[in-house]
Formats: sequence, structure tokens, C-alpha cells
Amino acid sequence: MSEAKLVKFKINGQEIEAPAGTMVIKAAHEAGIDVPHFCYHPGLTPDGNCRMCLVEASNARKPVASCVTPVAEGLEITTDSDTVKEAREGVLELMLLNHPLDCPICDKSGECMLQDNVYDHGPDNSRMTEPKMMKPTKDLGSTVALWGNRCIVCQRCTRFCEEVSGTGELAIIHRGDSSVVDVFPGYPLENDLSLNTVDICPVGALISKDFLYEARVWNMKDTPSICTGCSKGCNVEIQQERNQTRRIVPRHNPEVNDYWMCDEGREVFKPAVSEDRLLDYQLRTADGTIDTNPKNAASAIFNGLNQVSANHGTQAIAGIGSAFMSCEELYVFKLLFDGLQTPHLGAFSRPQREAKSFKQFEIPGDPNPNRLGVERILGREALEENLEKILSGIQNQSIRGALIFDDLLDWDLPAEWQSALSQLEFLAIFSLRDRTHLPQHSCLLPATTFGEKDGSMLNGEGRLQRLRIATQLPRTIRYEHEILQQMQQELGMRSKVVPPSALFKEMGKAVWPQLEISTIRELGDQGIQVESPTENPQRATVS
Amino acid sequence: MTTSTASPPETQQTQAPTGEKKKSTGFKFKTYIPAVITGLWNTFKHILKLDGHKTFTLNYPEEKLPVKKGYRGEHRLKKDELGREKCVACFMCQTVCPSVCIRIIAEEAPWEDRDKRPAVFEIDMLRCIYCGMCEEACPCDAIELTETYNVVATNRHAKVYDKDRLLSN
Ligand code: SF4
Ligand code: SF4
Ligand code: SF4
Ligand code: SF4
Repeated sequence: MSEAKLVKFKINGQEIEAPAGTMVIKAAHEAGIDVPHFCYHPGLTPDGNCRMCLVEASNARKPVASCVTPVAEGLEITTDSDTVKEAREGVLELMLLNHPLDCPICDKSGECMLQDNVYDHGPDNSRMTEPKMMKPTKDLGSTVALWGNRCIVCQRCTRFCEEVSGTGELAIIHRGDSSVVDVFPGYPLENDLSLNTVDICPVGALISKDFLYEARVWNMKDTPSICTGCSKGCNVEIQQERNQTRRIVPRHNPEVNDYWMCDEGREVFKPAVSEDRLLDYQLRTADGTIDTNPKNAASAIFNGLNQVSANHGTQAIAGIGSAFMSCEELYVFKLLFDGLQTPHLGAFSRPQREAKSFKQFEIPGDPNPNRLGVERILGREALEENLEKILSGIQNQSIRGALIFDDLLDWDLPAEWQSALSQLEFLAIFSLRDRTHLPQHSCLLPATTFGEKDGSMLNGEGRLQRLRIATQLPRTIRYEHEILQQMQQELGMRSKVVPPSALFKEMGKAVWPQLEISTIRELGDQGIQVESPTENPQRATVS
Repeated sequence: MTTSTASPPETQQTQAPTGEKKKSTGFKFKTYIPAVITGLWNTFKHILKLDGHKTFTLNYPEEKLPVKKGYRGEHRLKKDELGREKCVACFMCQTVCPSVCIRIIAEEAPWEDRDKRPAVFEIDMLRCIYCGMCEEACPCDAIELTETYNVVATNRHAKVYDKDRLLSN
């Protein structure tokens, strides 16, 4: 990209430099000067229809919309003159003419740009005495509902559907103050990015049906993390209230997901709050009783595996991780099984699906958030060859004991695995769901999932990104990495259980020695590109 | 100011009202007798209802004090003319409540004229400080503090009032 020429200009007397072609509003925001707006969104082309961003420019007689005015050498912009203030008041008064102001029951309330802008810049009363226009409230598709009365016709949603998803379902119908957004008859808003329109709608006109009345936004706490729905690793904000995740919204990362995320990703927290989540340890002891004390989990698995290796040799045990484990978990897992001296180390992953490509967004075909992490830490063969070897090993009775991770979302053990696992002498399985059909001699351990663990994952493009804890674990559950570390302790490989940040340090040195990442904090909120995407040409061709 | 700080404290004390000093060191003062008698006389005045004294004690619960206007007692959720709760589950009261004792879970209203209503509305009366902020905050005039001050119960659970209890208050 050729560097655009820098242009010098002034905003409110403050000297500012920006590349030629930048719009005034963007330059102002970057310089920390507030220019209120509705229809402008940094991820969409400017439209200039809401007139909220009017400013005075030295090269125009009337106020101009700063979102469609490019910067120019020597331009002088004023954002705080009386004319501008009057213009803003006028715009807001017009916007409120037909606005229902049902903030108390509006899901957008608390993050509504109309509320904020009226509060900061609006007139203190309305001269409107006529009855307000009524517009429809209806479903636009299976995910999004429209509250027509609240629409301020900023066309962010229609531009999104044209420019980013490229599906073009939404349009503005009618004229003047009857204008409202709508879908064409028979073509509902059904695309995999539909819920982004809800995020970018500045008011509560587009509402997520899934989140409807779930929580008030000011009661929720945000945690920056990443989505674990697929190998893209979209940066997200996990919003939680009373230790329960309520919503996931995208977080800006120009290198990964820009401002967007897919609808499927917004559901990844569901298994953590689902009814049938496994919450108790079921450690089957030698005398047939079931122990539920999490403190005994590590020793139960360790003794079980040890017994098998004492009876049949160390080669008779296998470990199967998953492409949903964090890099830190995988690292401890690998060390543990190296310590147990078995080469049988595999990892489950969800089968590839068809990649989906939108105008400005790709949903990759690999639905595993940390597949690349597995390849780097356990080895590329872990995902396929080793799994096959382990399966045949179990079937021909050369493998008699296993520790298995079944923490993949929306995934079930394939039938051949289920029957094979029932032949094992000892089986320990970390699972999200209660698996009552498993053989009697197994230890069932609750797995942790999205939003509950700290650590890092390597996305499909080779970007190492940080997972953060948004919700505390249910009281009966321990972290997998703790249990794995306790098993290491039993082997004498580790003196004490350390947090994921310390594991990250160990792992960073061992797995990416050429990189000088010393602490997990360095990953920051945007992650670090540890491998260049082109280094993995096989990414595109993974079958 | 400057003169008082300049003068030595001892002289101030010795020069202090000499007449009073005499009084407080006298025989009467030392024995407390006059003070005791004055106090007892006061008591007898109350007992004998002299000087217009009257009894303040009420035979509660047979007798009750009239509640003053604006008294803030237990909450009530108001009903509209069709007998449905007026509350639209906007969470304003929950947000403003300084003792965080209101718990609401919202749901879609089954009625035509509104979108939202509370599926669960609970107030933990033991945490409530009866400040009345919830009443002030409510945009729908749906909650108010009544004059009920008889707030006893035999267990803690009974003091967490649910929607039905609040509606019938
Ligand atoms: S869109 Fe904003 S201003 Fe309008 S009702 Fe909703 S919260 Fe209130
Ligand atoms: S629905 Fe929202 S985003 Fe779409 S035009 Fe109306 S206000 Fe703008
Ligand atoms: S009276 Fe005060 S403390 Fe009690 S519920 Fe209302 S706001 Fe909360
Ligand atoms: S403020 Fe009023 S309407 Fe809102 S939730 Fe409380 S009682 Fe209901």
C-alpha cells in the first residue's frame, strides 16, 4: 500500500495531521475530539445521511457532514461553535419527532447512541404535539426482530448487508418520516452475519431475538476474549451478569475479524450454561463406589493409568486431547504423557465444513479454535494418524487405558469410538455432557469451556490470542490444567501447580523459542502473529 | 484570638468565674441531694400528670400510632385497571436501589399493549433500607412504599417478597 500524503489541518485550532483522503470525522476521533454521529461507522462506507456529524469547515459556507468531508491542506474545522450546536439540536429534535422513547423496555438502552447524543447535545424539550407515527414491530428473520418505531433510518444495517455480508436483504421502504427498514417479502434476513446489524444499529430498532429482555446492558460486565467457535478466533467481548454469560459481541481487531463476528460464534457460551452440563466428578473406585470429590480426581486418573501401564506396559495407555483445549492445557497434557512414556497422543477435532465467504468476511472451514495449537504442541500427526493408530490399538486390545478430552462444542464421540472406548480397562474422560452410556469402569470429569479458562489459542492464521476468564467455574469443577498438573506432581515432574500464565512462559520457550514472548500479557487484547499465514499453505487444503 | 493564645492558661483558669466555683464546691453540690430531689420531683410530676404531662406509651398492638404522610413502609407493586401489574421490568428500581435488594427477571408480555413484564420480581425486605429510591426511579409509577410498618416474620425466607406478595400488599 502506498503511503498517502500527510495533510495538515486544524480542528478547533488544534493542528492535526492525517493522510489525504481521510474523512474529517475519523481524523477528529483519532485526535480525541468528539464528533457525535449515527450513520458513520468505521467499518462501513460513509453515507452522510444522519446529519449528526455536522461541523463548520473553512471551505464551506454551510455546516458540512464531517463523515463525508475529506481533510484538506489548511482546512479549519470547528466542532464547538454555536452554529454547530444549533445544528445538532435541530437534527436531534427531528430524530425524536417520531421516536417512541421507550427506553425503559428497550434492549438498547444503556448503549444507545440516541440516548447518549440527546443527553449530550440534544434540545431540552420537543415542540412536537402531533401524535407520533406508528411503524411495524416484526421479525425480520429467525435471529433479528425489528422495532420500526425506534428506527432513525441511518442505513447502517442496509449498508452492512450490502457491503460486508453482501446479501442485501435489508432496505429502507417508504418516504419521508414513514421511512423504515424492512426486508423484501419472502426474503427474510437470514445470513450467517445477521446479528452484526443488531450491534451496529445505533438505536434499539434491530434487536437480537436470542438476547431479548435477557439483561440490561449496564448490569453486565465485559471481558475481552476470543470466540472459540472456529479457527478464525474472532475477538469478542464476553458480557456476563451474576456469573452467567448473557451475550457475546465482537471486538474490533483489524487483523482478525474487523468489527464483526458470525451468528454461530455468539452461541458458543451456551454449553457452559446448558441444563445437561456435567457438573460432578464421577470417579469410579476399585470397590465400585463413586467418588465425587474433585480433590481425588488427579490421583484417581493417575492410579488408573498407572495400573494399566503396570499390567500391560506403558505403551498400553493413550491420551487424546482436543482442538478445543488451550495451548497451555495441551502443553501440560503433552508433558504428562511424555512423562508416562507413551507415544499414543492424539487429539479430537470437529470435522471440516465448507468455508463461507462473504463480501468482507470469511468464515473458515475449520471449526476448531486451536487446531494449529494442537499441530504445534502435540504434532501434526496427532489429529489424524495417531487417532487412527489409537483406535486400532484399542480395537486390537493393545491399548488398555486412556485419558480423553471431549470438550468440543456440538460434537459427539463417533460411534466407532464409543464402542471402542467401552472395551478399555480404564477410561478417564473430561466431558461437557453427562455420558451415562459410558462403560462402568470410567472416570467422568467435568470439562471447562468457553469463558471459563485463561490461556491462549493459536488461530488458523497463526495468531496467538488470549482467552480470558469471564465467569467463575461452577463450584464443583476444577480446571483441567490443574488436574493435569497434579498428575504431573504424582509423577514427580512438577513441584507445584501453577497458573496458566506461568504455563505460558514455559510453553513459549519450548514451542516458539525463536519468539521472545515472555509473558502472556504481551499477547494483549489483539494477540500476536507468531507464524505468518503463508507459512501454512496446508491450512487451505486441510481435508 | 491572638490575646487569648498569648495569655497563660493557668491565669485563665484561676480568673474564671469565681462565684460559680464556690457554688460547685459547696456542700449541697457535693452531696447531690438537691439534684436528686429535683429529678425525683420531675418523675412525680409525670406520674401524677401534673403540669399537663401525659402518657406517651401506646398499648401496641391494640393501639396504633397514626402513620404520618410520606411514611415509607413495605412496598407494593401497583396494578392497572385490568388487574395486571403496571411494572414493565425496566430494571430502573433495581439499578437505583442502594442496597441491591431487588431482583427482576424479565419476559415478553403476553398482552397487546406492552412488550415486557417481570417474570420474577423479588425484594429482599431484610436488606431493604426503605429509602424509597425505587419509587422515585420508576418510570411507570408501578412501585410504591405503603404505610405498612408491621414487618415481622418468623423466618428469613418469608422476608423475600415475590411478585404475588408485592402485588397483594
Ligand atoms: S432506541 Fe435508544 S432512545 Fe430509543 S427507546 Fe431505545 S434506548 Fe431509548
Ligand atoms: S434499523 Fe437501525 S441500523 Fe437500520 S436504519 Fe434503522 S436505525 Fe439504522
Ligand atoms: S426502598 Fe430503597 S433499599 Fe428498599 S428496595 Fe427501594 S430502593 Fe431498594
Ligand atoms: S422501576 Fe418500576 S417499572 Fe421498572 S422494574 Fe421497577 S417497578 Fe417495574
